[in-house]
Amino acid sequence: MKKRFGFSWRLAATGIKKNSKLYIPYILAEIGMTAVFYILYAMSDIELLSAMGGGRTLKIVLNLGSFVMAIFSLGMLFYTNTFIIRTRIKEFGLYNILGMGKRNIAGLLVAETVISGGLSILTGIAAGLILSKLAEILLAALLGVTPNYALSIDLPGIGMTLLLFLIINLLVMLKSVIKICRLNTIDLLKNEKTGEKPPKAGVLLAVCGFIILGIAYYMAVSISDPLKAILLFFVAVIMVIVATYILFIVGSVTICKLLQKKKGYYYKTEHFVSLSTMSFRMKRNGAGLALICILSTMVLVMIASSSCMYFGKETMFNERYPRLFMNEIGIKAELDKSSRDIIENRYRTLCNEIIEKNNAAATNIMDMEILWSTLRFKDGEFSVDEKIYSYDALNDDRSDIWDVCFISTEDYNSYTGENCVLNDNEAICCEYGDRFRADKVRINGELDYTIKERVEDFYRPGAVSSSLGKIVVFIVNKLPLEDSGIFQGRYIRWEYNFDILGNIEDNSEIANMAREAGNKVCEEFENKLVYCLGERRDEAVEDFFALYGGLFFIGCILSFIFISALVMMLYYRQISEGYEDRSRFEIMQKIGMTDADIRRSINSQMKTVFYMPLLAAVVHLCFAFPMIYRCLIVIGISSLSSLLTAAAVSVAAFAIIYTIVYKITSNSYYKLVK
Amino acid sequence: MILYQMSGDKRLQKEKEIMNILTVKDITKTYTTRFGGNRVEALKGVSFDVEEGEYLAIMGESGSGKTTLLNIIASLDKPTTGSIKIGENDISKIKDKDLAAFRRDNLGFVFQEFNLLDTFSLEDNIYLPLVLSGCEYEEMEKRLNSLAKLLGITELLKKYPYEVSGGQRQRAAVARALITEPKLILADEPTGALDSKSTDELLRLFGTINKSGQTILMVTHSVKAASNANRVLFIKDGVVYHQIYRGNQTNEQFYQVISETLTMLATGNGRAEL
Repeated sequence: MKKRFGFSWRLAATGIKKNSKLYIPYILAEIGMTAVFYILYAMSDIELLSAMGGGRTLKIVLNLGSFVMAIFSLGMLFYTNTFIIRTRIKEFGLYNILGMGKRNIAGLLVAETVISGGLSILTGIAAGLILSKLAEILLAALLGVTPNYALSIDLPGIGMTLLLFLIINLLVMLKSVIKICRLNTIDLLKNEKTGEKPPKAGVLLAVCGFIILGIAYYMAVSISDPLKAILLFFVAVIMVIVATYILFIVGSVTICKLLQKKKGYYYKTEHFVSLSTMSFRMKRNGAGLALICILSTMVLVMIASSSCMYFGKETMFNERYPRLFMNEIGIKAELDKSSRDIIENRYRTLCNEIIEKNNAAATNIMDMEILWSTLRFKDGEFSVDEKIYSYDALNDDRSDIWDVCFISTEDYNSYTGENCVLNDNEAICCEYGDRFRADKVRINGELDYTIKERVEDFYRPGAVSSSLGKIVVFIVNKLPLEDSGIFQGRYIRWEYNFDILGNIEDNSEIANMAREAGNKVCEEFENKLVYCLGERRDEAVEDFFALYGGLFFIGCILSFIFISALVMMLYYRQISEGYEDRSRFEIMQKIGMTDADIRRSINSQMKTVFYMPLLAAVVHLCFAFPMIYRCLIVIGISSLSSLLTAAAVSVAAFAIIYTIVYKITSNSYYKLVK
Repeated sequence: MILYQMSGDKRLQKEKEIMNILTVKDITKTYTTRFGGNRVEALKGVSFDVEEGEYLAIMGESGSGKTTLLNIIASLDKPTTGSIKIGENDISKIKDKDLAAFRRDNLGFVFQEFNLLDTFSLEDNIYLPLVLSGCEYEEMEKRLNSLAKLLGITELLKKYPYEVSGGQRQRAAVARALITEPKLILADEPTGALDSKSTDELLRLFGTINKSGQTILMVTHSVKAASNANRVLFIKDGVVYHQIYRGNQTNEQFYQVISETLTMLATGNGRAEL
């Protein structure tokens, strides 16, 4: 018994060695996927992330990313393993004839899985450990933090990776064992000869596919709350994956059948062979195309959003820091106008003294009192909702939450230079991130305003946003301090921002003046203030770009991972199909197919199937676009045009990469069959 | 023992202007093992002609070189020395890249293992060579209709190779060989994978198409298959050892002669009498 056990191990090892052309990419793919899963899983636990601005959001994304990676690995390994088993079925048939029972063959498969799976999982985890550390160090460098060089081992991550890939390997193995056991010896010997039957109830399936896709698209387009969007995004992603699979399988079958009926098209050298081969393995073909399409979509989404961060960061920075000095003081709301003026004047004077002393001048001054609150908008009314501050992103609908700001006409006029006069119940409004589409608004049942005018881009209160992205600014005659209960016990935000003219390089007095003034005012009016904040653009620039550099870096890693998976997938498809088609092309060459014919036929296959997944991926991207946009708003990118540019550039760049990869892999196919 | 039946040959030549479809002249083929150590001479100077409308069988034991010879005639392999002419064309003068097209237009193949493509229906398998030469669909359809009737496969055309029997597959393969109206049909053990009933049918079919003027060259070691031919060439150890003509004999008589010849060849007496 023991001897026999050893025998099947040896046989398994030679089996893998002999089929190394099939197994090397398979094992490499599994190593890659194991490593990626570990990296995604472990990275969401890195402390550095908590230090980053969008860290919490990023954690969710990484967690969900590892979840998608798990599903993806399962699909990919199933898919590639089917190829291997299919190619090797004759070999198993021979073993069967030579006297190995089904049980022994199953044992052989188990042994092979243990060898290839064990090798991949262990190497994968090791690679994951090293790569995640490397990624962490790079990230730390980008964030300007001292990296921790000690190799940290994320035990739960390792456990999870082990568990997941053991299960996947087990499932894959069970599937091949069942497949082998269900075939008899004769079938084993000639398994490759039968064509695939078209899926049953094709029309029904197609309808289901379109419905699922429709719902997913609708979800992607209609959800407006970005926090909810991130979670629902993944529900939509899974629905899109399912729909893509169904539609590609049913669709490619239908298209093949239709084209085969068009005699004038079908019976042309360049279409004849490729079309018949495609319809021969139509299900597999469809599944492969769907997988390529999904991977392409992932790549496009990753590249588009991360390059948008890259391209958009300047704009974003200028929006966040429009002036060199950005100061704000939170003044308690119970203070009246004259008391507030005293505080504000004191601050202005303190700054001006230093400015004058250094022969500089303040310019581009923004001096404004802002009253703000986060409110829920419903049926023309903004109202307080206690849950706003303790939200549960999954269950609460936050799509109608706005940051509502009030600015007086006085401040508005002095800032814009206009001469605007409003009645007490009139307001000019300026919206960011969304439109609330109402001409009359009521606030908390107490204040009524008629919107007299809507203006664009007046002033975007930078730091107001509680990452919701929807802001409305009301310019009113008088700040509604006493008229509304909303602002009782809250504060007024006084913003005093300006640039400096004059030679002030390396002038520490100027550099520190806002901070000094802030400290003094804080001391003098201690019990009248809530907070005092002073930022300088030149100080913020490093932190800011480090943060977005970090996000960009993670985006790049993910893009790279998905592109590698895509390359692997394309290569695998070509190699396995090349093996399968080799004997066919041999026969065709005997009958009189020239090398040129082979080239033409391969090119035709490429043209027929090449653009389909890419096209579908671009459509997916278009529908994912609003969702991506909302997710990006969460991390502070709000420039639609830069996202559009980024998306267009990514599609173009990706199409080029895709073409190159396809050319190379189809060349390896050509070499195989020639 | 009369081994030569020249009278039959002369009767054939009554039709004047009979040209040679195939001329094989001094073909040798030497295989060298990978490291150049051993040299194996598979063919040691083979010459013969095939006239238009002839039905020639080449017999020989395994390893006699007959498959090598067929591959060389089929331009799938190159001879070490010697020349092959098909019609007016010297194969060795045709460029490599044109060879496949030449094969497609001038030769029809029937293989032991049928070599039908499992991705095509029988119909499409038969169309394949025509599609490769860029033929119009209407023309292909016309040709197939008459052929399918002749071969009795009209009902099977939409089926796939794995759905029909071996005999039916071989008939489809014959149809594929015939549809280009080739100068010469090359058949490599066409009955090798068939049961006796299918073998009979196929041989009857070969007889019919030969009577309609098709030249056939068949490599076989089945005496039954060879007894259907007009002339049988025997190859042993890489040379044409012997040949016999049918003359006026029936298949059964010819069968007798062939098997006697084979016995003689096997026991090594044949050569001595020549």
